[in-house]
Amino acid sequence: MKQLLYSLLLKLLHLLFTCAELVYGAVQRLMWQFSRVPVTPPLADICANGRQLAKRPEHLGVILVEKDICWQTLADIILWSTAYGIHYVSLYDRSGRVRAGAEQQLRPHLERRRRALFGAVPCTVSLVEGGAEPGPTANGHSGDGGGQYHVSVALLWEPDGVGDMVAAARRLCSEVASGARRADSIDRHMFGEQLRAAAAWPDPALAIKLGPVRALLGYLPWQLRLTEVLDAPPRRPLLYRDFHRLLTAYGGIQQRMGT
Amino acid sequence: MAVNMTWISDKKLTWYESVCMNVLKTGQVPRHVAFIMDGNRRYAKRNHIEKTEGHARGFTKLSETLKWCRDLGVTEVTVYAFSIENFRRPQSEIDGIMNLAREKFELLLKERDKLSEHGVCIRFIGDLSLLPADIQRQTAEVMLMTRNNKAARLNIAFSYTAREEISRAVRDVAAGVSDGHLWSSDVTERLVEQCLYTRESPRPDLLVRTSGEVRLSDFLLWQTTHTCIFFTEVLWPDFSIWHLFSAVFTYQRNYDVIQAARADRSLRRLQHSTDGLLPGTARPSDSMTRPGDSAGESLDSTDSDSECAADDRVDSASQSAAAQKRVQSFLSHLDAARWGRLESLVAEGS
Repeated sequence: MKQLLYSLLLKLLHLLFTCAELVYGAVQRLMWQFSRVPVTPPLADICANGRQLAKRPEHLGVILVEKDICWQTLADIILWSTAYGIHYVSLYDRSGRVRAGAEQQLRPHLERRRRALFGAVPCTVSLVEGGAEPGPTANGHSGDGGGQYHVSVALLWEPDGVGDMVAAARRLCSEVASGARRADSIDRHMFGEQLRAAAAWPDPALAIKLGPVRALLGYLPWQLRLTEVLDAPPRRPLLYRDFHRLLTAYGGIQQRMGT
Repeated sequence: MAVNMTWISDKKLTWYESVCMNVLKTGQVPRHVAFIMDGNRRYAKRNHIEKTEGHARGFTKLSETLKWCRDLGVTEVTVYAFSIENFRRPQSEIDGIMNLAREKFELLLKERDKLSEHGVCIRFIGDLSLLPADIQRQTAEVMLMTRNNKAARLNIAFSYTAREEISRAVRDVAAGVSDGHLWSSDVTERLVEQCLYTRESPRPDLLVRTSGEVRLSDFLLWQTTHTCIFFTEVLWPDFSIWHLFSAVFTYQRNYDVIQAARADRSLRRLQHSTDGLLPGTARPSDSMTRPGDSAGESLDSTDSDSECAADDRVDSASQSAAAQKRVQSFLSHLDAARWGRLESLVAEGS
């Protein structure tokens, strides 16, 4: 009897939280609907905001842990990052939806939002699958972009995480088997260099998690070592002010690096 | 505040804490919880006490937390006690932490009966060779003393970083290949995982980090890819049972989504592991041919397709069995070597 009562209490508690989350989500969406006019400031203001940050990540990670993908939010994050002077952005969705939708969904959004934000100012976005070479860019140019505004975007999924480490281990073991390498030469510095996901990129200093799930679901485990993980406001598209707040919060974080 | 001088706390819960715990226990309870116990030094500064005293209060909190976990039904706990990066701290602070460790590990040895009574197995994970020799011996003694306890396990990450753990596991596997125990095609996620310090343990279901930091700081990077992560502002010595309840409640709210992602991943992992053992993909670095195969043979001259497929399945099954045998033999060898090292350490000290 006691057990039944305890179980009912827990179910009630979870139900209350679910209701509260639903109401909160509905309010958030309504507020977003009514405040969508003045959302994104002009490019010059965004750039000025970027310059005022205490620090900015060289590599920004975006982790999708929600059912629905808001392509506009992804395009906006990429373009705002570009304006802030961030050169590397990795977009992670464990099941590969971002990779699959890059051409049909992300690219058109990127193009539309780029025109709205950058106008005639050159801006180069290179979409990169995992550790592959850069592909064609959002504004029709190719290559890594030598202009003022350029960003490389890695489209990652689950095999780019632990799977990448296992693949690296296999390659190293093949080299050991063939006598090309000694087993005792493997250390953490050398092993990190063997990974192909976002290869040669700096580790992500900041990752923005989109969605309410409290897990990273396989995002670049090796590279995640010192990444600050911040949650975007759930249940509505990201606004510029949210992005700026997250980057400002990151700027205020001090890492002691073990000391 | 009296300093708790035991690893196995017997502190009783209040009636309302017991009720809340019983309510929570009717839902999903994590089997394995990991803690990044951060904030001892900030706690010491805030309370105007010595850093070493802050660490001692942190130990008291650990003892209490282990009791709460035991009451909840958590069977495995992993704690981040000391990182390899922490060796960069001022020498006086490192000395203070090492002295505290000596004292607490000695206490573990004295609490042998209590540990046996509760069936607690203790394992130190990390590059223990970086520690002072006497502490290495203590850790070896504790591990050997509790190795047959099966009811619960406490992993103490001491002189640990996940990158060191992963690269060491890969190095061990590569040494196995070099020695001829393994083929490079035997290397799978499961194999690397079985060479980590946390081998034999389920992955953590819940990771709790205190003190408001929102990063993993090189802790269990491989194992926590699909773990519910709970960041909380409280400093570790101030961590209370309510924070733990809150973490477990959060785990329950995220349970379905994370389990679905884990299941999906396991399915793909199984597929991936099997692929590595298919005929023609075995031993990619060594000989790619099987007995009887030859580059000059024409496929047209063989028997019917169905018979070929049947032959392939038989070959595949026998190759898979051979690979499993190699892996098992290698892991037994590795395990024996690791226990052997611990026994030698203890023997050197006696």
